[in-house]
Amino acid sequence: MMPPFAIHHIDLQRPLPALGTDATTNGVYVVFWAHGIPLGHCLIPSGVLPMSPTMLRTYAYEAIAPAVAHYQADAPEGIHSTDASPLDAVQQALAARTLHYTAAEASVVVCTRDRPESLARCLDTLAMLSPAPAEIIVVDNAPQTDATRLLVEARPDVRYVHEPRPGLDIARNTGVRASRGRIIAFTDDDVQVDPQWLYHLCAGFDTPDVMAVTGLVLPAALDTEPQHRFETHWGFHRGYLPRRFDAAYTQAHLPYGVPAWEIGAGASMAFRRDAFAQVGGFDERLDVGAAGCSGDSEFWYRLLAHGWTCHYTPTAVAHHTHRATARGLQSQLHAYMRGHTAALLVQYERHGHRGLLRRLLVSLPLYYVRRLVRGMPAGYRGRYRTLFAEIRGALSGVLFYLRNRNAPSETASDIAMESTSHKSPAAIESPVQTA
Amino acid sequence: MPYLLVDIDAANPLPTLHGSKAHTGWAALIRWQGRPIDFWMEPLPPGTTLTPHDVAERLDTRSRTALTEAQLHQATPEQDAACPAVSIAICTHNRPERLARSLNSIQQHVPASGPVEVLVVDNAPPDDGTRTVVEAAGVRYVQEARPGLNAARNRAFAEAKGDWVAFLDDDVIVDAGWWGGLCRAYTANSDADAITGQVMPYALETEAQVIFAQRGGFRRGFTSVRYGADPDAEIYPCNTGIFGTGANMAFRRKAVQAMGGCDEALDAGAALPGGGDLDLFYRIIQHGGILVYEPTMLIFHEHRRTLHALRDQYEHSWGRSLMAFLAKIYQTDPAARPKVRRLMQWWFANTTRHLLRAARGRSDRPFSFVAAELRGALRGLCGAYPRAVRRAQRLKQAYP
Repeated sequence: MMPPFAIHHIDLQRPLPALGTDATTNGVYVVFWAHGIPLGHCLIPSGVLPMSPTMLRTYAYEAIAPAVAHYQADAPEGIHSTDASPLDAVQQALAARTLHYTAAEASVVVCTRDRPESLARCLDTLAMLSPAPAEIIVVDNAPQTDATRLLVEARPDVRYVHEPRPGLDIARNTGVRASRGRIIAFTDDDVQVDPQWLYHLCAGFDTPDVMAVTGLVLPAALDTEPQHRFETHWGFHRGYLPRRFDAAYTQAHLPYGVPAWEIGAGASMAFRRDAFAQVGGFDERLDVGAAGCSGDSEFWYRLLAHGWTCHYTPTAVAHHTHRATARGLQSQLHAYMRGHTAALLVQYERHGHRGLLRRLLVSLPLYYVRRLVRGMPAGYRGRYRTLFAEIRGALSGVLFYLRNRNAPSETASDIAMESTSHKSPAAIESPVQTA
Repeated sequence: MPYLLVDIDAANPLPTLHGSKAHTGWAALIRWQGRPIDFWMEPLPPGTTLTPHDVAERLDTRSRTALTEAQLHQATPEQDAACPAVSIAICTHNRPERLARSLNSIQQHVPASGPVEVLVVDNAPPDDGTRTVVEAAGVRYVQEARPGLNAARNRAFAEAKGDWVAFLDDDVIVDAGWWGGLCRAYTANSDADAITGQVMPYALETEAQVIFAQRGGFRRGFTSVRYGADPDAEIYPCNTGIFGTGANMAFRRKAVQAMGGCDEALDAGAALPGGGDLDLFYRIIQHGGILVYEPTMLIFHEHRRTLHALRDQYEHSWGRSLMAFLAKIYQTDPAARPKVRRLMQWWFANTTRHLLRAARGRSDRPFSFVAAELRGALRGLCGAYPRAVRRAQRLKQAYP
């Protein structure tokens, strides 16, 4: 199945439509929703269209069953009740959440660099957030033109901040310093958020140990083959089941290098302001001149290493436009791997966890050797096409770290404003142990 | 050696299960309010008793998602099923007792007003045994002198009065929900040209039956799938095994007749005992038709009892006939050649891996089985199909 695929969002609480044929696409990526949250998706080839509502319903139930089973397991009656619809358990789970923060207490920060058209679309969706945030800040990072400034100044609801030093994590730290909210949510300029995105991110801070919340990032479009490949093999999609990455998770994964990138995507993340007071800001050596990668996961890793919890909540939904061209994908994956290996070394420098070295020196090389071998019969086409760019990126990340490790990891000025009244839980002890 | 085979409806109070001293494991078909939703096998020490609590625990671990899916369906009112005009056809050769059991299950579980008719095609009969059974059951009897399962199927298509022909093997037992499953699939997919169903083991009494079931049997999963054209796919639709199996398949009569009927070189008795169903599935998809796999259209099949018979099946049905069928596609469908090549590469690599694993004792099937399958496959690639075509032509002349 090759793109282009149309993307449909279907509410299961309304009568289902039939899926019609469409000569312009090769298939349909359908996301199924109920009670305002997404529960599953499937990719349907155009060869089986048109499809009746009844058959679509069968596909829907198969796609959503794992997530719904999860919510049922949390529900008081358990999964063997024959009375209620399983979807009621979803509603119960959502209603049972204690909301410690409202969106009105949150700041939204978007770091951008010379992508005004994309940014405009992003800001349009931020304007629809319900409830609205305390403030929306755009950090214009080392811009080459005035376009972003003019765009933002034309919007009275958005604050403009200029950060001349290039680097996504530098820009993020600037955004934190400029913001006032107790919760700081980040998204990127190539992302469009749902109206309830911020509400659900804030709702994710449901226990005192949660310092970071991440959300579900769906593809905004699957028009080209590079976009589909990115979504299938990389992607920001972490599934439809909520997940807590807590001290137990950290301990379990320490020997092999905690895979902090599993926690979510920088395109949709939020932190308590206290997080920055506790562990510092984003590491400013990372993400310099690159497409943006690993500064987020390095920060989550740092939070985990200090005993905090990160919470992935697929109820907070954003849509990311992936790079459409093969060249764009290639350079993005190069940047990803570069950031990945650099971050592994930064994490090792900060925490001394041997598992990180194991990942860098054993797991990662083995992974690439396996892929080199498997890709050979395929002539390095398809998912293997970016293999060499990735490997080059991984190596360049190591070199980059070795050259820049003495650069300042943080700007001199204090990253966080005065601490809020949030009480850090005394019971959580940092599990930092050198492996 | 045998497994305790049970049928559990998770919506009812769960049973206590007593494994005898002979049982080395248990296998369960799980239902929710009658609808089959899951199947699993688990080795257990002989003489084990499983309490309802033990069963519930396993349901929770293994079937949680399947149960949720069933409950989602249950909470939605089902559309009134529209049943097509179906001729149920059983092609049989010299197995009157088995046939009687099949016909009995049909009479028990298929509503009399459901199908247009039940039709038995007696293929190259050596005596009157089948005719006697059919007349006693009061269903329609047709004789096809030309030997070969696909020859019998072609006769069924020619004789059937219904718009659809639902084939059942002569040694199957239909589930109580079989007819409902067929209608459900048709209602949701009234444009389909083929509907295939699922096959569960009827018995797990011998080692051969357990081995076959452990390998996957004829199981294709418990969710309905709608299959159609997908030209960009790497291998599909050449991986015809995914579509279903000849023991339980229904076709829109006109669609098959428009394609030229069943290929009598395949499913031709001992000469080439398989591939006939695969060929039909493949051609339906190639002609742009829709094929629906419906797991609730369920039958029980008593599989080969002896290891010898099972090994033969590996060699001749799944090795030789599969490769002969792929060779046929390679010859007759140039556009599909890259897919066939890829599939063959994958198949040989995978089977060789299994062979090596089996040599180390780490496979789910004995070494001799995998070796037999490979042997059969290699023979299947050496002109098996062209020979079968010539044989079919000779038979057509002998039995016009």
